[in-house]
Amino acid sequence: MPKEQADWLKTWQDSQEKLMKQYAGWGEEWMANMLGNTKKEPDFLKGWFKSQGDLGGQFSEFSKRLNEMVKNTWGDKIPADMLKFMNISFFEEFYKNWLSSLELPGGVKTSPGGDGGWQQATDFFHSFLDKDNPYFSSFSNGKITDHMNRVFGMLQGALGQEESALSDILNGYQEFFGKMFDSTTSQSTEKLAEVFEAWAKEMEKNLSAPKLGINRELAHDMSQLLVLSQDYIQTYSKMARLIEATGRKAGIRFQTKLSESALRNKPVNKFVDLCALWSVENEAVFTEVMGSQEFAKLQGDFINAGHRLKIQCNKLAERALEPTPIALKRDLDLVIAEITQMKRDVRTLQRELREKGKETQMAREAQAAAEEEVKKTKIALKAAEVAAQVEATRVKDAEGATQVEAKKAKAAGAAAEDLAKRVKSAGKTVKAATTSKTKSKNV
Amino acid sequence: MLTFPHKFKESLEDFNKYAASLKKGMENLASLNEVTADQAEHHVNCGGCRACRACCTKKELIYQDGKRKLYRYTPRAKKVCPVPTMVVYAMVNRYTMLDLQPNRSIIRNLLDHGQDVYLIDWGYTDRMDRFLTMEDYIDGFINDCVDIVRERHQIAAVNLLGVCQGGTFSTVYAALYPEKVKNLITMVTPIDFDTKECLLNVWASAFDADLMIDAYGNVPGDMMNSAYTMLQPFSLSIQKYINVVQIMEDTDKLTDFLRMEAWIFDSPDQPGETLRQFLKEFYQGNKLVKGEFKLDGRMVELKNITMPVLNIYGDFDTLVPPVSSKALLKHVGSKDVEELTYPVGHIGMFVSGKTQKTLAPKIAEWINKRV
Repeated sequence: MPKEQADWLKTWQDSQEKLMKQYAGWGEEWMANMLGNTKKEPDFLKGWFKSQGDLGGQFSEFSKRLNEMVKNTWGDKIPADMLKFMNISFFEEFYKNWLSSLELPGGVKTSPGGDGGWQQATDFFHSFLDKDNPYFSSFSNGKITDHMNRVFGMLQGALGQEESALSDILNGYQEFFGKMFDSTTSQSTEKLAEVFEAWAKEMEKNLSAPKLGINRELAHDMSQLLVLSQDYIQTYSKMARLIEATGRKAGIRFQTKLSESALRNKPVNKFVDLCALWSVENEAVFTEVMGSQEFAKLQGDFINAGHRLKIQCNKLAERALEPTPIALKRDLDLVIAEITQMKRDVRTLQRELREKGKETQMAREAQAAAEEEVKKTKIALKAAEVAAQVEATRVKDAEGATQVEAKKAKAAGAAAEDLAKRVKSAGKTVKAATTSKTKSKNV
Repeated sequence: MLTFPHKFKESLEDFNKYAASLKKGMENLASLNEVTADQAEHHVNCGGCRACRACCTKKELIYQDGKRKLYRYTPRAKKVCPVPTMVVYAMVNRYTMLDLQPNRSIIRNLLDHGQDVYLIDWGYTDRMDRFLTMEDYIDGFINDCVDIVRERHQIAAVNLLGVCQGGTFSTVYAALYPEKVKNLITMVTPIDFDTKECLLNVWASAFDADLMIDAYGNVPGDMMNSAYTMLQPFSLSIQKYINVVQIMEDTDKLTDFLRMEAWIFDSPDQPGETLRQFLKEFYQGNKLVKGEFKLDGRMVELKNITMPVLNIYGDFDTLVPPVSSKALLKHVGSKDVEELTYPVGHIGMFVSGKTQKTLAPKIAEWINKRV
């Protein structure tokens, strides 16, 4: 940590210690008085406010220096958006809020914090609506007045006029929008919307005056810009009214919760607890409102009005650039759209090529497989032929053998027949011999 | 009300403690330069993650199409699932949330549990992306990446894990190309947009998306961030920074906080035409669940999702309310569907201690049973 920062922190702590001692002494004196141990009247308010002032200064410096330190030590390492949200000045705001929740001795109620800090929450919400916040302003990173500045600057340049009614309009715009974003109440914003309407009518008259020297189309576009701006301010003012009313409601709820805690003898006297309570109670009220169709409609109207205004500004900027050789946004958009389409076509072609490639590969593989099959079939055929020949030979051999066997069988048959004949003949001979022998015996 | 001086004294003492924490925290903040410098070597593995302040899980670039990249994380387990899981993150914010730091990394946990993880990095949108449509992202980039992974692994289908808007894209993809998706896992994914439980859905019904895109072209990430902050304006814009003082003395906690903040504000712009479609077709038309959504002329029918589906959501998600995610299972055609819920919010699903130990193992187990 740089020496300068370390020194400052040390000084700050010393001052804080000193103040603490002062408070301690003052408190003891007060307690003693309450108990009747001393007749000396403490100078409550003097001591109180002096200490408050010193402490307020301490907090204020603390916030300021802390912001510097965060930016110095961390600024190049974290996104700018984060820094924007990490606005340490809210310590100071909370301090004020904290002080205003205190009740002075002797029943004297006051608000030592002065403006009550963020009790109404509107201030906080105002930061969402302000010119630097991209969400509601609808102008992203640029402030609306900067945006207008650029557009009008371009128009002036294009028209080649140093002094013109355009300057009046631009100055008027800057003034109105500056006031609008700095308005702290919806009433003042509403009043501003009324004034703007009258001013816009006046400006419209100027637009058609010959001294401006602009053509009818441009005059119409400028006039449209005024109408849309009016719409933007009016929708802003309606949003502001709802937020203000919600802030009041949330403030009452927060105060009620504080009182309830105090009545239960559990006062919320710690800084972190107070912040937490404030945050929880406000969020409950605001998110309920923000979830309503009424809020959605108001917000939608406001955002739409902002977008219409931005589109009109873009249109004017284009018109200012038309006579110059600078490429217009719409030209670039056309080119980008065309390139995107070409990329799409290339992607489709690549995909088709991949598919075709796959099909070709599959066809090749199928062909190779078919050729392999043919080869295998041929081999199988040849093998089958060989096998058939072998089989045929075997069959032939078998036939020869069969014939021989048949002959043998025939011969055997003949022999058998011959044998049978011979047996028969022998039988006859035996029979004849037997008959003659019997006759001889009988004789 | 604080009537008594001793209470006031107590308050001051308390604040002094707070201020002392802040002082130490600031010293700590200043010394973080050295802490992050020591880890510079790890940035080599980040693949262009500009917000990274610590280790990122090692990954390899597999394919690149302009700004869009397909990474494969180096497997960390001995046995790796044969079907890889491809993560499709949202286009809002960066995928680095899934691999924020070693002890808060769903990617690392999935790898440790044997998954083979691929991830699509959409990159940072610029003007050249102004006219890219959902067809380009879903039919184009996601489909290309799926095909590449299928081819690399010689498989017919991959596991698809979609996160938030990436989950919606993955669901559309799975409905159109069911043959290429083995299992579908959706995390904190909006499906039914007709709900009043999220302010975004209520607000979206009342503004003109065409005007916004016509005014901006690509919609700035800053603007999206402001809208998200508005969902809980007091907690996210103030309370968070009050509370951080109490942890600033702890270097690890402070670094964790800053890393998280850096991620939150690391918001790419939204490509105009894609956002126009997303807002009009889904947020305003709720066409996905109505069965009226067409992509490039083809009707996207959720009943075509017949592969197993695991739907994961957070009970306290304020960005994508549970009712919006739960609708998926009512509309898909799959018989094998499962829900997994955690008592966490949208971001808590990825970084909360409650999910770190169990979420990835459960996903891995669910996948392993189905491959």
